[in-house]
Amino acid sequence: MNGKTGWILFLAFVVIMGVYGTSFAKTTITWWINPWRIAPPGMDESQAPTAEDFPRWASEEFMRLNPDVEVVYEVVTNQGFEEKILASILARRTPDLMKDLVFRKEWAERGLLEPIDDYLLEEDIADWYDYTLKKGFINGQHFIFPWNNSNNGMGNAMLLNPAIFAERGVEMPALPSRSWTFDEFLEAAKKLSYDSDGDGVNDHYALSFAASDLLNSTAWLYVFGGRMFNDDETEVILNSPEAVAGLQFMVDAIYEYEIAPRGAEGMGIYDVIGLFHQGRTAIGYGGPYEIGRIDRYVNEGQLQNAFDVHIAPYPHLPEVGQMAHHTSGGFIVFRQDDPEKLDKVMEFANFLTNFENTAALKTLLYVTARKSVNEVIYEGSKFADEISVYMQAIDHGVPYFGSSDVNFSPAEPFLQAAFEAAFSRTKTPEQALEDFAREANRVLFDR
Amino acid sequence: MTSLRHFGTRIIKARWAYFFVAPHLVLYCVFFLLPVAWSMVLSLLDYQWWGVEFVGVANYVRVFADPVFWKAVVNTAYYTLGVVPLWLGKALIISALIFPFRKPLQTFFKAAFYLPHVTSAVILSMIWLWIYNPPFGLLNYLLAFLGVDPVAWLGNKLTAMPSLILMQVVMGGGSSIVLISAAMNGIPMYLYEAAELDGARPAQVFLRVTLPLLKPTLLYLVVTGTINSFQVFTNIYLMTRGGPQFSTTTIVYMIYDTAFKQFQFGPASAMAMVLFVITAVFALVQFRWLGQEVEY
Amino acid sequence: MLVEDKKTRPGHYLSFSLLLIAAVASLLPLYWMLVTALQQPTLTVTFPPEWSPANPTFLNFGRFLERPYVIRWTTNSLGISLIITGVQLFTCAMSGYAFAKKQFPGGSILFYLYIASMMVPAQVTLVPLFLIMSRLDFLDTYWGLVLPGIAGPFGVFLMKQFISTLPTDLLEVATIDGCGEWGVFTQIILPLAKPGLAVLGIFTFMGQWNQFLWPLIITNSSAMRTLPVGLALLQEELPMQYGLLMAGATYAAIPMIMIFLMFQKYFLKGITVGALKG
Repeated sequence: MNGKTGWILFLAFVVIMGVYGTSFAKTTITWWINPWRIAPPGMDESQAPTAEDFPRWASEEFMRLNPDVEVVYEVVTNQGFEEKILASILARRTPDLMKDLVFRKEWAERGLLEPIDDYLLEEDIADWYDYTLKKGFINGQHFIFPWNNSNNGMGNAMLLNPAIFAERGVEMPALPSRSWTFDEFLEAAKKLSYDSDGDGVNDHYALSFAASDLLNSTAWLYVFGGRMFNDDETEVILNSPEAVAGLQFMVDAIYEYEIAPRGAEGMGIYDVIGLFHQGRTAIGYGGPYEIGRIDRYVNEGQLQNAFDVHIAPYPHLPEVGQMAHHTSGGFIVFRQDDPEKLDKVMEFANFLTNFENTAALKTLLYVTARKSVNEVIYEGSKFADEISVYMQAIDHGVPYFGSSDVNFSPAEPFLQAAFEAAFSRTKTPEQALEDFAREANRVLFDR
Repeated sequence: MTSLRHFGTRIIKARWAYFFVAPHLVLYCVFFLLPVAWSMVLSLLDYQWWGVEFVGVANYVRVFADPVFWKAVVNTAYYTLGVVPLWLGKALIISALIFPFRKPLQTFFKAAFYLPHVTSAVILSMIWLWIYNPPFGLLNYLLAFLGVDPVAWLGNKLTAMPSLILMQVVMGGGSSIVLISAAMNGIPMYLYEAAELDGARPAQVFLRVTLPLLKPTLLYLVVTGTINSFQVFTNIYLMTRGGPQFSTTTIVYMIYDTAFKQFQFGPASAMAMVLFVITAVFALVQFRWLGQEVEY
Repeated sequence: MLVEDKKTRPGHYLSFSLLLIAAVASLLPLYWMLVTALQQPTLTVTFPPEWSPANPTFLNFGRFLERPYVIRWTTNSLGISLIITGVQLFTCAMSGYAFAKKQFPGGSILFYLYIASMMVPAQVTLVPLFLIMSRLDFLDTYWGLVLPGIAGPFGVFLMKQFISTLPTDLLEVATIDGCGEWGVFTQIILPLAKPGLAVLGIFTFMGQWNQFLWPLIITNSSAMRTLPVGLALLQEELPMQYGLLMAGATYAAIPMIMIFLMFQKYFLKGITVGALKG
């Protein structure tokens, strides 16, 4: 064959290979999730899942259903999750899909995220709780595929140790909702605190506080009617008289009623959990997930004996009403340039948040974002009562640190400082919250 | 122009020198000088992932208007003024005490004091966190024998910084001791003999003869010690996270927090520039003030 | 205070006891770390604490080593420290030689620049380096961990001081003998500079092994962390498990302690080389 024909054939070959090649080129989807030990569908009941099991299964399953797609997952620890995603955004190397452990509204506003409205199905929208969708609703578009409704329950509910209640002759609040007024709670708390070794100082308490545990501590301020923000979230108002009363109660609880131990200014959430686990406090914090934590610690040898736990909402003041923190979560999709890939990623998101995969959250005893799932997954389980109590509690949920419109993290150190100051009595509750409000308004709103 | 040609000839003649200097110089320029220069530029920018904007001195204004920053400056000064004199004093006294002993014993002691220096700050912080633990830690346990109630060392805003200072003084000083001992060994014997003949007692000998001659070494230690104290970070990150109530927030901790937690690179660079200036001023002042020549 | 009279005096007993107390105070925390590491896991958080473990066990070490990534962290630290040390030794020896033994235009200015930059706090370069690395896509990579470590000025200063003390006549003799420039460097200078190189090598290695802030910032996956950072994060993850944490601390401390005890004289001498006026 002569040169010209040769060239034409060569070019044709190249073109054909190119078309052939690209049509077979695999789309790769990368996604991040934080370490939740969820058992994937079909996993052996007796095995304890690791943080990798569910993401691995989900990736493989989706690849099985879509052979031309490659799915790569990454489990990112809670510690450093925020830094990692912010660094990735800076380096322009974001994953395609991510669990919304961190969610900033400017990502949506500045076009970093893909709006999901075109990919939401009617029946799903009806099945998801309103507020779970609202979390990701920015400027008229949705950005989050809802998955879980609350997580470990901090700030939502309290854990009660029935054995200690019985021992001290204190009645538990009653099912079906175990709701109790603040006065009932205080009375019970006083009876639950006692001195066991006769040295004149209580060593068993009703409950405990921790200054760095912002969620549970702020919860008490909300119980008394305090609010973090005004209605349009333009000002921090946690220095209101109601919030001050709440903080005053906490200080009194430590020093006057002696129903909580001293040293709260230096304690953290794990100290609080530890005290509850060791029976030094009769009341702890959290939701059904915390029940699972006890079993897990026993299995790991960290805790000697398992014990029964009942859930109750935070006590309420009649004039304020029942309060609980609200938090829900789901998946967000980062901007895609390739429309075909975009379709695939959205399909994956819908897959992760479908009925079965949402139901997988029952391993963690979480409440899910789907009404249909919540109705069935705990039916007949021994936790059914507790979960029912919990769901009733979070019905009253309000996000304590603001909606997605506000990034609260710059103000967190000041809030912690306020609790530290109040618990150590270096400032009065009023001073502490005054200072917090002033600093928070400065860093959040430039007031 | 002959001077230019002369210059050119000198360069060509010295080409090997340039060859040898080049490798490190290149790395140094790219990964040290350039960042320093860019830090100055960054401090004048609002640098976000969605765009960069020139804001002039706005970052500096924001930093200087931030009460937490001033707290950090005070804390850094507090820490430095606490650590450097105590640490140096300890090193001096120990060097003086070690001096008369025989070599093997000297080496044993020097090694004992230097050992903590070798283990990283992370490990020391972890150990001391455990020691300072309110209900279960070693310190409160020992103090209980003296009838003292348990103290939340790192949880109380009045004791947090002193606790960090204490830890640094107890664990540090090893390299200073080695240095001072070496310097003491370098002092000519006849000076001591002359002093003794004059009837001077050991303490006087120390004050009048040894100390003045140690001045260069001590100056070096004060300057490097100060510069190092200004940069304290690991202990704070691991033990107190700048709390309680910002009592252990230092300038470097703030830089870290502002840059890598809040991703505000402009203000963080401004803070770094301020730190730079403070450090430079201190070093120069110390050199002037303490750096008088010593005559035999 | 005089070296002459080595006969024991009452003063000596006093100073010896003081020294002993101070040394014990200095070493006590390390001993405590060891005790806690060998203690039974459920007993570490007891009161009163025990001075020597009742039933010493290696359980904590076992649990520590089982944790994911611990081996990886160790190899990361090792690899990075070795690479940085190697490159530093080589480039600083070359630069130090040039500054010490060669006159060239701009030489003194350059050297003063090096000295002045030793005064710059490390934090000044932190943010720009981070941004540079993110642009180069070196975030969370080995390149990102290694590159800034090789650029420090201290090594050049140290080598220059040391090489200055070597006799220049040797160089002249060698050149006359027909050794090329490179030959003079590799065959004369380097062998003579061994003590200086040893000191620089050990200090660089130790400094890099113990680095905390930069690796903390530049890495965010568990697999890329170095040992100090991994340990610190472990402490955040498992706050009260002191047996395991102290076992980890011991594990991280032992290599450096071993190196120190083996190369003691270099450490003790090395500090002086840099500090005293050459």
